[in-house]
Amino acid sequence: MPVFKATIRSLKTYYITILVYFLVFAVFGTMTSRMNSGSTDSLYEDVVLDVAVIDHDHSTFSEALVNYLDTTQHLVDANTTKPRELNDNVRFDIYDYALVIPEGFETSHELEYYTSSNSASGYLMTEKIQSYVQDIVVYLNSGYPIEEAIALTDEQIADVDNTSATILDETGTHQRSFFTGMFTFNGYTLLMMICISVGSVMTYMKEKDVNNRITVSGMSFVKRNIGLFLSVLVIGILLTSASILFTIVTNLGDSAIHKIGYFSLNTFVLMFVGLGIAYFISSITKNDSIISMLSNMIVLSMAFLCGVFIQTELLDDTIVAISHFLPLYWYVQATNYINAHALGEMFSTDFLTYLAMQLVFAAIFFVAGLIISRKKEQYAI
Amino acid sequence: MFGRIFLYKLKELIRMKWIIGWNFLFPIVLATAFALGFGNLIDDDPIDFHTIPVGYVSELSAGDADASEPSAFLQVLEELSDDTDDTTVLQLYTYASEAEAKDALSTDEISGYYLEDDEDIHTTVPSNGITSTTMLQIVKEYKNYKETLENIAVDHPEAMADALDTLTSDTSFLSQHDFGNDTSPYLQYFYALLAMASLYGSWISTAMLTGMCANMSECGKRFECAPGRKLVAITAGTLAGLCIQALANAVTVLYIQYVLRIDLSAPIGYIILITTLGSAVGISVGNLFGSILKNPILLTVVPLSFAMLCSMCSGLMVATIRQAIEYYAPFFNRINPGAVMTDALYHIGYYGTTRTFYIDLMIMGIIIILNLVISGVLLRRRNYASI
Repeated sequence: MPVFKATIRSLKTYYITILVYFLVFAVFGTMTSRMNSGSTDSLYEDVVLDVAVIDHDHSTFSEALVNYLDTTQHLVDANTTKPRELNDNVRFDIYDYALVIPEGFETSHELEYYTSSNSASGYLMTEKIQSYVQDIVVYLNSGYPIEEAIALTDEQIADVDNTSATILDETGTHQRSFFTGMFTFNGYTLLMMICISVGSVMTYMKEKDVNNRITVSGMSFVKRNIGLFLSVLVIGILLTSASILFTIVTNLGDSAIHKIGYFSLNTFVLMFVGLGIAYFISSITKNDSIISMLSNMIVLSMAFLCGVFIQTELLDDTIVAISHFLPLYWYVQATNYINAHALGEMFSTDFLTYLAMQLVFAAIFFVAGLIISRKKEQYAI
Repeated sequence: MFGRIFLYKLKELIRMKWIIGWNFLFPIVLATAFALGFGNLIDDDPIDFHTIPVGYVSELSAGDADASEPSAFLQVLEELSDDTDDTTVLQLYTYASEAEAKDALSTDEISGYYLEDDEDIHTTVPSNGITSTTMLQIVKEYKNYKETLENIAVDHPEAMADALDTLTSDTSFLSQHDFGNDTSPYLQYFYALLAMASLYGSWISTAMLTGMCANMSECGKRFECAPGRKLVAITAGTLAGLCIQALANAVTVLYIQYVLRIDLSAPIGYIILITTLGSAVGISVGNLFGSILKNPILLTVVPLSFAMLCSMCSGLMVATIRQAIEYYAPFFNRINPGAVMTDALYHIGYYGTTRTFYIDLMIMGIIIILNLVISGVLLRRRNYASI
C-alpha cells in the first residue's frame, strides 16, 4: 500500500501535462470529429456545400442567383472581400466555394469563383451555377423578360430537384459517427497521457534514492511490485475512464451511443498498449525530457501513419502495409469496425483479432522493457 | 568574456543529449512520418475531381427508339466521357442488366449506375456524397435542359435554334480566380512542423538560464557570485542557443527539401530566414519562461506544452485549424508565434513576398523584442533572501 500511495501521489507532479493533453483531446478531438462525422441515413440526400457569396451587382438577376444558392446550398458569411483571404478560406475548408458577382453581371453574365484548385466540390458547384445562369440567359435570349426567365428557371429547378437516387448500401459503412471520430483521436491523446504520466511516474520510482528507501523497508519484493503494478493500472484506468466519460457526456445524443460498450472495450485494450509503451520508455531513460521526447516521437509518428489524423484510405498502400506492425493501426481498425457494423455483428473474428493484436503489441513492449531493465541491472548502467 | 561564455554555452548545450533529441532528431522523425503518411497526397489531393466510373443500363422498350440509336441521355453520358476534353467527367460502362451493374457496384468497379427505362432515369449510388450528387446533377441538368427547350418551343419557337446552340455550346459564365500557383494544402503540416521545431528553442534557453540563476542550480550560484556582467553573459548564452536552434531548423528544412524531396514551394533562403527568426522567437519565449518559472519540472512542462499548443493551433495535426482561427478569432493567430511563422511560410510559398508576409516578419520581431525586454527586467538585480 505505501508504494501504491507514493506512486499515485507522485502523479501530482505531472498534472499540467495530463491537463494539456486532455484539453487537446477535448478541443481538437471534438473539432475534428465534428468536421468528419456524417449521418447514416439510408435515404439519398444531395450534398449541401458551404458557399460564400459576395454580390457587387445587386440586380434582379444577381439576387435571383443568390436566392437560388440560399435555397439549395448553405450560405455562409465570406467575412472578407480580399481575394487572398477568400482563397485561403476555400483552401482550408472554412467554406467550400466563394462566388463573386461583379458589378454589371446582369449584362455581362460573368462570374468569378474561388475553390480549392481542382476540387470535386468546386466542380459540382460550378456546374450547378452554370446550369442556373445558362437557363436564365437562354430564356432572356429567346425573348422572355427577366422576371419571367427567373420564375421559369426557379420552377424548373424545383421540379428537377425532386429527382432522387437510390442508396444501395444501407448499413452506413461509408459514414463516420461523431463517436468514431472522438475515439479515433483518443488513440493519440490517451497514449500520450499514459506514456508521459506513467513513464515519468515509473522513472521517479526508479530514482536511486527513492528506490533505495523502498528497498530497505521491510516490504517484500512481491508486495512492492504488486503495489507499483496496481498503481500504474489505476492511473491508466483513471485516464482512460476520464476520456471515455468526456466523450459520452458531451455527446449523449450521438447515433452510435448504443455501441459505447464496444468503443470503451477497445479503448481499455489500447490502455494496455499505452502502459506497455510507458514501461518500455521508462526502461530506456530516467530523464523526464527524454521520456516526453520518446513518447512524442513514438505516438505522434504512429498517429500519422495509422490513420488517426488522416484516414487510412487516403494513405499510401505501402504505408498501410507497414502500419500493420504498429499497435495504433489495430486500434483504429477496431474503431472503424465498430462504426461500420451493427450491434449484433460486433463479436466477430475480425473484431477479436483487432483487440488481440493490440494486446500482443502491449506484451511486446512490456517484454522489451523488461529485457532492457534486466540488462541495465546486469551491467549496472 | 562574451566570446568565452558564448563558446562554453555552445559546448554545454550541445552536450545535452535531450536537446539533440528534441531539437534535431524529433523534427526529422516527424517530418519522415509526415512524408510517409501523406507525402502522396501532396501530389494527388483526395479532394481533387477525379473521373467518375459509372454504369449505364438501358431498359427502354424497343418501340420507343431505334435499337441502333443511343438514347439522348446516353449521348450526353458519352459526351461527358469523351477524353479529348480538358476534364473527363465520366468513365462509362454499359451493362446488359441491372444485376450486372449491381455486381460492378459491389466490387467498386463503378461509383454508381444509371438505369433508363421508358418512364424515367433512375440513379443508384452506394452512399451519399460528392460523387453521388455529381452523378445525380447530370440527370438533373439533362431534365432541366429538356424542359427549357420544351418551354421555348411553346412560347418562342423562332428562338429554338439559338437556344439549342447556347445550351450545347461550351460557353462558361464562370471563371476561377487564378493565383498562378498550386501549392498543396498538405504542405501546411510541414510549415507547422517547422514552427513547432522553432518553438522547441524555448527549452534551450530555459536550460541555459537554469545554469545562470542562483535559485536554480549550483552552477547558477557560482555564476551569480562571479563579478561578471550578467547582461553580457545572458546575451552570449542566448546567442549560443539561437545558433543551435537555427542550425537544427536549417537541417530540418534541408532534410525535408532534399532527402524527403518535398518541395516547400519557396526559395530556400527565405525559408531559412523565417525559421531563423522563428528560432529567435522560440529562444526569447524560453528566456521569458526561464525568468518567470522556478520549478524545474515546470521549466520542461511549460515550454513543451506551449510549443505543442501553439503548433496544434497552427495546423500541426489538423491543417485547417489555423484558418478556422483566422476566420473566427484572427487576433489569436496574431499572438500565436507558431501561427505567425506558419503564415509567413505559407505566404512565401503560395503568394510570394506579400504585405502579409512582411507583417508576419514584423510580428515575430515584436514578439522577440517584447520577450527579451520583459525577461531582462525580471532577471536584473535579483536578490535571493534564501536559496
